[in-house]
Amino acid sequence: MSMTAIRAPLLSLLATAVVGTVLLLVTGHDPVVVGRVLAERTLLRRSGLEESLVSMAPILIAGLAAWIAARVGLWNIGIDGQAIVGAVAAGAIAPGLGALPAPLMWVTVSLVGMASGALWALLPAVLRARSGINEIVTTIMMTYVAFSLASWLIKGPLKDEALVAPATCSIDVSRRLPDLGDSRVHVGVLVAAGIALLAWGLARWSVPGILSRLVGEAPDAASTLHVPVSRYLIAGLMCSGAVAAFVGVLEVLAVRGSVQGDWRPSLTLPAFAALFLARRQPAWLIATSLLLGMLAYASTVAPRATGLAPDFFPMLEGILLIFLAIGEWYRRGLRADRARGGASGAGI
Amino acid sequence: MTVLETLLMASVLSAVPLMLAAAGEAIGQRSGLLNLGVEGVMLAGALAGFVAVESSGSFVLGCGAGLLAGGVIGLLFGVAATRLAASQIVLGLGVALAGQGGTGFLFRERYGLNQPLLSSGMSRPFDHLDGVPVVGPMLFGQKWFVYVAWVAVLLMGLILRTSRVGLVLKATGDSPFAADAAGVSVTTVRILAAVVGQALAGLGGAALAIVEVGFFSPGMTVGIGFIAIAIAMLGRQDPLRIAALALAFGVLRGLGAALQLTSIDIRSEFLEMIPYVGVIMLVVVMGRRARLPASLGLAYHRGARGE
Amino acid sequence: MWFRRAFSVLACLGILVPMVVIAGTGVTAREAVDRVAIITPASRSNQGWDQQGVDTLVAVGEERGIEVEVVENAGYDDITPILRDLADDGVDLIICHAAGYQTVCPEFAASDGVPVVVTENPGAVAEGLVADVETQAQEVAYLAGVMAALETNTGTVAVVVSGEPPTWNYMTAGFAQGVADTDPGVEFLYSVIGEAAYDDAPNARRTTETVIAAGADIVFGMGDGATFGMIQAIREHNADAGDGEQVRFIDVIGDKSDSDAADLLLTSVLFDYTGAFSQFIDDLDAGTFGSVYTMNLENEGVRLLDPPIEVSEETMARVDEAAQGILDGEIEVPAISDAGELSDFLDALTEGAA
Repeated sequence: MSMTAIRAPLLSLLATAVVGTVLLLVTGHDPVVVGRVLAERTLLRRSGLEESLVSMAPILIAGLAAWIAARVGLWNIGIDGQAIVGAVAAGAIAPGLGALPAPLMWVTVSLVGMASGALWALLPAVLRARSGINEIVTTIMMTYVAFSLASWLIKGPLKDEALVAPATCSIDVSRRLPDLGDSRVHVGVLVAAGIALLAWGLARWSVPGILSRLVGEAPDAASTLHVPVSRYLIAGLMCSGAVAAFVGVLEVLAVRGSVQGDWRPSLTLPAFAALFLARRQPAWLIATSLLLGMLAYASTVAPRATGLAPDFFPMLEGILLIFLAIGEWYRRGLRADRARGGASGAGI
Repeated sequence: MTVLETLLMASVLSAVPLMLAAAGEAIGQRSGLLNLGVEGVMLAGALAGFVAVESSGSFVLGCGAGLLAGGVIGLLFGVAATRLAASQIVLGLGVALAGQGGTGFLFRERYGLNQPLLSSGMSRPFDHLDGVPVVGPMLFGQKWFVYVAWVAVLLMGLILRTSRVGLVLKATGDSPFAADAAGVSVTTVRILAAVVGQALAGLGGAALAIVEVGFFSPGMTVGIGFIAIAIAMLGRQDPLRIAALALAFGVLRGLGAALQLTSIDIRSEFLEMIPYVGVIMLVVVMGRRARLPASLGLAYHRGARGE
Repeated sequence: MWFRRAFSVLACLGILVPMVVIAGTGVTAREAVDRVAIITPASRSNQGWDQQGVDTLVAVGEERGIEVEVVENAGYDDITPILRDLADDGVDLIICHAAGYQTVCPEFAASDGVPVVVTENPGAVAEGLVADVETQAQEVAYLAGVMAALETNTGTVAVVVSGEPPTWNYMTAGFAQGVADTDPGVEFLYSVIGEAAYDDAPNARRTTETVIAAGADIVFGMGDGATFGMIQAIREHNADAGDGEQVRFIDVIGDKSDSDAADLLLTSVLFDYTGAFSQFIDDLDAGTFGSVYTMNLENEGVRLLDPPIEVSEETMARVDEAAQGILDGEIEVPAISDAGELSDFLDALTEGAA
């Protein structure tokens, strides 16, 4: 990204900080104290940095999922549902694969989890590609269904009988993804970053990568050129679902070793926030997810240290998004809008 | 009241917030604006309405506060989407996040660790007639706001279908270039649609807090805002259809509670899924024929090459 | 003269000997506990689960001059960042106040060495590191069931829950048994608002309205934040209903008799963590940390709130009788934590009564 392109996100960050400071003053908090506590805990403490990295991974992966769908012009609002489906699938088979060497288990579980996510996106994908039914509606509904289904499975057939609160059988700490050095940062963070770079590379240099952009921005032109738009849409949303499911896989393989019955990820909004802050570039997504990961970590520890309600941080994220939207740089998007004239995301 | 009567009555009541928010979103969508942040707007309206009633005791003031909160956000959204050509998707998601976080934050700041409840409920003007079996409570036992809301939405539906206002709105959404050429100011129409539409969504949120539940708690909308967007699209931006869909959704939700009490032995998790699966099935069945306004979500630029 | 000297020698010995013994045995001669933390998933303001844990710990802390750190609204996601943050700040004990933290806290204790208290996970107990709190609230729920069966005018009672975590399930089963044992003719209704619907007040309200419509005039509600929705539903019903049709509410965990809900409260199954938390802190000081503390009727970890409304002497006598029966071991109240098992249990009860 060029220097001018960075200007807008930076300005938005600055504007958000200003608004945040004003709000703190108005409600009687001391912005300097708050700022100092936040900086100290997220940047200057080793545990803060590590936890921010760990928080970054799910946001990065969800952001990638959002990016993949957006690439072909679709809005995957069902990321949370796909994540849960991936987690349940992973939590279901991981304990039973004890005979396999750990690395093989990880690969198997990941594949199964991601396939489940892709399957969960299949219905909305087909409905959109074949009948033009808006995917915003269908993916949202699928998320709610996923929550209920997951609850039933974890409370019922998949429940760990040794535990009292419903959760899938936990895989032993020794068989989970290893940490980097003796920190708490698990390998999954690197894997996520790797996927981001892979996505960036594919988008730039592979044929499907380039064509997917065409499908997203000018579907009519694409079909005139005999690009199988329908197939791209389905594949795009399903890949998005698969990647979203990987968040759930990591929950089992790295973070907790199992899925709890009341785990409810809310990654969809932060995913899009990270994506737009990164100007829809997968490589930059790494940096923006880290920033949002730090905010997420801050919202868990700041309340105790500053007395601020945890809701303060999602609020800042939302304000950031609003400034981003308004920012100068989006005017450059005009050209794409004009050319589109019929556009992505429309059509029920 | 029998279980059936309660189910019907509760469905009509619980449909109100959803219906208002969906109708409001539909007005925006008709003009070409897609606001994904309805959830945040509803929460803002809910908090505003609750604080107004809690401090003044007047439900009318509460409704007004909800309208105002929504209207202000609508203005912001409308101006940003038209004059500043901001991406509506990003704006909408920002509003959703800021709304959820902001209302939670402000609520805690004002009330600390207390959970204030509204002490008195709204009055029910037609109570005396509710003896009619089955439909009595549903039709006559409701609080006055329920009647106002239903009448308003039905009126809106009629207006949009038959009057010039409806036509102008539709034109702005379907073919902004043509509308512009015919002398309509696309920008003004869209901003007005945003203000009115989101004011309604704010009112819907206020209704949730002061009419249906009787208090405010952070995140109390539990996803209704997103469902409202879905219903606005499914109902093809027509308030009459939207009202019917919202009612159906309310019935399906209440069905879960009612079925648990029968001897039918289905796990509650599956009963919970009913409304959402219902929407998906509706979408599959009705989806083909419906379509969204052609310019939904796109910024309008005067003088750009036409569609 | 000689006895004064003898006395001082004895006094010195009295102080020195224990110190030598402690130092000699190498038991973790910990500094006394002076900082304790508690993590709760939701906010104190729900006047339920989260409030009881926090308020109790704060009270115990004040009494003993111990600093208390409260982290609320931690949610159900991974709380390891919070655990580490607390550990970095040097807390001596962390109370993980939710069944959902049952695996992450023991693992943290093992890896970071900070003692934790979990709830409903006796299998995780580890010497010096993990202690467990069990709430046998089903015994008191049984008593509430006895009261409900005797106090109902319509012959129907209902249980409304905002999810099926073990804590709620124990109580549902106990309550149902209490009702069945007291009067098999009383109809028992059970309704789940939703999965993890702890804050879904609108839904709570609708569900409560439905059970009231089905005839229940006593509602045993477990909802945390959603409880307010249940209360509003009952309030509205009572405002319109006649004298004989008033619905009353049985609450759990917290004490709402000071709140707006007081006039419809029949009783409450109160959780009192004072005994448990005090014991754990004592254990930590003494080096014997790492056991299971069961809050039950006997140690008053769980007890029935005195009914604020005039409940007949006869009813109270029956309740006391039942309480004595439980303490004597004559009455056995089932301990059911699993949702599936609960479902089977309830089915068997209704069939048995029919």
